[in-house]
Amino acid sequence: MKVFLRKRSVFFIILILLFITACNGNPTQVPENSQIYSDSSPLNITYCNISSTDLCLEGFGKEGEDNLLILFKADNPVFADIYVGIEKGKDEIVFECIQAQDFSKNIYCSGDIFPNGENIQLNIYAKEDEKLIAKGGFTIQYGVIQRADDIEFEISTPESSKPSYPNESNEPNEPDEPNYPNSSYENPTATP
Amino acid sequence: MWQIILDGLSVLDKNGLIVFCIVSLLSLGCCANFFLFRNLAKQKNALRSTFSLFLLILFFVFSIIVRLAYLKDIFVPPYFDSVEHLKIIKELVEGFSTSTFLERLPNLTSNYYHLGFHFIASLLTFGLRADPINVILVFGQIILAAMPIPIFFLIWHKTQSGTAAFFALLLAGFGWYMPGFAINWGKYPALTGLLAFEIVLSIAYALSKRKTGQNQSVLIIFLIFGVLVSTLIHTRTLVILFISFASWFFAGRIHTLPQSYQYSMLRIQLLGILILGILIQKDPLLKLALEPYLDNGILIALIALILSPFALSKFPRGVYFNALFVLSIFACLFIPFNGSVLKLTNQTLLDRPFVEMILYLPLSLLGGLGLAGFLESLKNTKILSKQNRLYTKALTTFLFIGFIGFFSIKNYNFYPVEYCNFLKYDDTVILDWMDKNLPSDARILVASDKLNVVPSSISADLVGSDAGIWVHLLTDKKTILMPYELDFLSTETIEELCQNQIGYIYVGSTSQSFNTQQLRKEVGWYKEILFLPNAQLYQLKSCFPKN
Repeated sequence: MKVFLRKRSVFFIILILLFITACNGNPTQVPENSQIYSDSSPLNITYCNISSTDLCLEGFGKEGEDNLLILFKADNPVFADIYVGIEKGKDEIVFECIQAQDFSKNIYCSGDIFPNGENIQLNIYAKEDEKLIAKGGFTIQYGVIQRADDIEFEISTPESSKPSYPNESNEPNEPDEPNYPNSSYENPTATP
Repeated sequence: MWQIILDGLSVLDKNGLIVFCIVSLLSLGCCANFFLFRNLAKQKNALRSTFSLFLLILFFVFSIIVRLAYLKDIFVPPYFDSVEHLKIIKELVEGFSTSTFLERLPNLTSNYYHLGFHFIASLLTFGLRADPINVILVFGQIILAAMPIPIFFLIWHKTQSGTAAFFALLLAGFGWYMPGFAINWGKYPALTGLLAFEIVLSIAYALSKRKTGQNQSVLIIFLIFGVLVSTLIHTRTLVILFISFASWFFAGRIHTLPQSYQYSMLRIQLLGILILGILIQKDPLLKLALEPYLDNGILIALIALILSPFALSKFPRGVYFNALFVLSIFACLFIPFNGSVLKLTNQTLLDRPFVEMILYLPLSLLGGLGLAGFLESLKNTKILSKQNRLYTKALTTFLFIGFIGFFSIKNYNFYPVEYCNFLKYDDTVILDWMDKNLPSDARILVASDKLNVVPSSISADLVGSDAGIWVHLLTDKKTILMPYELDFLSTETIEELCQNQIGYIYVGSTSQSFNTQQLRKEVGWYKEILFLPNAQLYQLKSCFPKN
């Protein structure tokens, strides 16, 4: 047994080194689904690109010319059945929220439109007991994705084509690109 | 790395039952692999083989966890193939639920499309009462985690070296971004077919090593059954099975020749590989097949090739087999195939994605054989003392398994690539809105591109090129595919849209989506219904009267 362990010591050393390397770093915390939110301690939400917690804001959109769409992602089922209030002067405008049927974590809320660039305070309420369970302050920006370092960029329509089944490192140089791109593919619309 | 493990564990937490069932199913195959080789293995030390198996199980568990990280933020299986997979699986599940399976089978798809894979996935979906999307996603990752295992057993038996077997295992699992990257193409049937092919290869190899009378008939039945199953899962496995059997047969024949003739034959094979490789590199479509092994993975490929002389000295038949295998699959890229019986036209025996996916196999086998040959040479060398030989062996093991394994896993991309992941958050919102708000007879225009995988053929088939491909399946609304380069500013386009009674235009976020700027510009013709950062929906306002 001793001889066996001595000969296999290399494997054990490799395993230990791999374990140490794997454990090195600052992983993001796994959200605690059992956390309860209430009026006294509502969740402070932010953009999903910055921090994806139990509930986060994906962004804003427009429904026609008259309606604002507020886009949420809810990892915690507590936030599945909600409505949103946005303070406007003394009133609070209510936005009804819908859970996407096939993708239950995705919630979108529709209500009166706000102008681009307006700062708003979002208050998220549970439908069941109308208690405030989350809130956050945001600036409405249509067609823009917010990044962690507040660098904003506008989504533009891409012009060049890409191969079918692209590889990891393909560059879209050819006019008739194949399907299934490889890993080398560089997507011209890829966000920085 | 730690983040990848955490992501994988969180996915495992949500899909535990599906993972457990699929792993149990695959474990049967892996156990079969083990028992096939257990009696044939000449392991003198039971403790050593138990240790190797323990490490193998550890590797499998680790692979499952890290591969599941892929599913953390993905909504549906990627690329355009996946829509068809899901559609067929849903039909089959409906057939099981309503006992109308046999009636539905003939009309399931207009073209033959790997019904074996869809049958397995639909059985899992039906049995687990699970969401078919989750089943496909999880199934694909478990298959990827399991793919290196038959290679481990093959090398382990052939070389009697656990080190070499683990090295081959690492190469097959993480040495190159293929075959794992194929998940981004939605190549679920092909990957499942490759795993089935590897298991059949193991059975065939075990059969070739058994002495007459030792349960040979049972193995033959299993072999035939395996060939049938793998062909049903993916038809092209029949081609590579034939290539494998032929390569093994001819490798055996070459091995019986005098050594100088053997080396001459090998030189001819290598020359053939070089010539075909150059031809492949010259074609802009086909050269993608070698990219994982010549670009990102060149270092690992070179290590496998550098070890090949040691493989040649100790396991020459294995080297001849790999060379013939590579030569044959390269040749298949140029051999046309008329599959009109299966309603498949303009095909070659193997296509570029498939060859690209399978090249990891001969390279992994070569790497394993080469390392075993190198370690064998160390054992027999008289230059070093016995103690120095042990240290050198330990250092070699550390270098090849520890360093290269660590390097490969560290540089491996465990997450989806954006340009293959068509359906993003914004698309899910628009699809749900369309399902709830558009009339049932709405006709929606979605972007597409020509299917282009075979160099010599001009394909007329259009395939979806953004999330619009999911509209029909998820909203039950009629979709019409048109090329993504459509000029929405031209009156001919308007006429064509009106002729097709198109009411709405879906714009996704890929580089092959419609030009949203054109649609926003022509407010007289197109009305913006929904505008989200990564997806939009437009309505065609009016049609031009014909002159």
